[in-house]
Amino acid sequence: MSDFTIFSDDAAKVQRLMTAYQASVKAEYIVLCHRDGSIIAEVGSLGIDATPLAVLSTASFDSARQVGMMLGGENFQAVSFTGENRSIYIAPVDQALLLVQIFPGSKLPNRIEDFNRLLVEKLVDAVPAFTQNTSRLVR
Amino acid sequence: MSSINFATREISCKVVYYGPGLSGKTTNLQVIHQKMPQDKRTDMVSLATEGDRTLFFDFLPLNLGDIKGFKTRFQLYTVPGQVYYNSTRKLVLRGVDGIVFVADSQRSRQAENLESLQNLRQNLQDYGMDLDDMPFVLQYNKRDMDNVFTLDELNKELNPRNVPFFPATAHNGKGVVTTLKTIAMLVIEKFNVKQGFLRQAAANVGNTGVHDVSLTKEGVSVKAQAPAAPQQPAAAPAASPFRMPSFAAKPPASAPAQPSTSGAGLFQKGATSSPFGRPRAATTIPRMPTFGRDVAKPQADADDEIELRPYIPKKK
Ligand SMILES: Nc1nc2c(ncn2[C@@H]2O[C@H](COP(=O)(O)OP(=O)(O)OP(=O)(O)O)[C@@H](O)[C@H]2O)c(=O)[nH]1
Ligand SMILES: [Mg+2]
Repeated sequence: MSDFTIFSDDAAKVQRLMTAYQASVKAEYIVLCHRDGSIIAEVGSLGIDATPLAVLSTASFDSARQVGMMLGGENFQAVSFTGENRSIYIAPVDQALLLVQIFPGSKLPNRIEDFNRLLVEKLVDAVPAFTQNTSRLVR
Repeated sequence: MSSINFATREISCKVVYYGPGLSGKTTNLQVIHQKMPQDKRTDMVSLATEGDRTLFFDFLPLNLGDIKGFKTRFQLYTVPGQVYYNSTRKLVLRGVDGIVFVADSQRSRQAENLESLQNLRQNLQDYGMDLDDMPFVLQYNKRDMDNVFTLDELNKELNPRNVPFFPATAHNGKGVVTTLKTIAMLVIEKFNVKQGFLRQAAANVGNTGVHDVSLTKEGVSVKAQAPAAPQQPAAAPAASPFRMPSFAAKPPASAPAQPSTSGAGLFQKGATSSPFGRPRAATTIPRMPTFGRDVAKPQADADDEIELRPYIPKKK
């Protein structure tokens, strides 16, 4: 069982990175969540509860991962959906976390993969806990 | 995955309703959803087939109220009971904190109950978890049907460890809330214990938690790993082909206001900087919230835990 503790200073760092990123890619909303469904930080607002969004995004990503496995171990890096008014990009941050980005319009920004990778690197740099630091209770 | 977020002041825990197909797992969540007061009702998400069989999961976020400034959020999930959906069942189980096993009381369904319970055990094992170490309750559902087992018979087959069990008729709402309350209490109880240890361990290492805490029969041991490498002053992404702002270590320019911690509150005791910051070695650990009722007796060292009254089974 992974147990996650998020302290305020870490959350503030993450929030700053995400805010700067949001401005540069012009995202409408970004949420960083644990793949178990809890919210770590969000920027922007959709006026809806982030938890179901996080849970369903996780499910989406997990389904894609499973399909990848069925296809002989294809390791999908991200999933995205585009609609008429909004598009969404879902990508992992290390093992445990997921970044969900929502953009206005029917297209994702050009080179979203590259931008996303930069943010992920910075997030991991800023909070090493994301990679080394899932406190565990072993019984 | 019980997680505690000091920034948003939220605790969240995950409870999964498990059991054979058609035993009434989805019905449990629907009833809880209906019983939520209108103004607090959250959306229930169901990924189901046309025939209303669960395909991936049902999900219901539940706010169990504000306790000493921390929002307690439970995430309730159901799994698909049908045998061939095991990979989705397994995904839903990841990070689970507590399990409700919804069994079908009908005699004709005993094989399915047993198979599902075995499957639960196996799936948890694949995640390195042991059902016997986990908050776990049984619900014997469909008590209204003809030809059901007695509770004793069901216990004999399904409940060797004598965990709390509840007869239910879920589609009439009977037994649903009691089941939920009990699992919630057990989960919170375990959360208390874990948080106490985890935070102590974190304080020892002076880090958010590069450590494993082992709870064995011999006692508690904390294995500290090498502290995280000192953070490099992130080089400006000059080499980057993208015009990314250098947002490495910027001050909180217009960062959204953190919840104000003004007013000497619960958490101020002995804390010099932000009471919600990570604890550092040799400073007093900020006090954790206690679940209102039984604050009387935290001992000197165990004051950073969340308390809820322990579950005491009612005598029948
Ligand atoms: N008679 C009776 N029927 C019930 C009871 N609880 C649920 N049902 C009915 O049983 C059927 C199946 O219930 P669900 O809650 O969908 O079962 P499930 O466990 O979610 O099934 P899967 O999603 O396939 O795993 C529904 O028609 C319910 O109305 C009960 O206590 N008594
Ligand atoms: Mg169902």
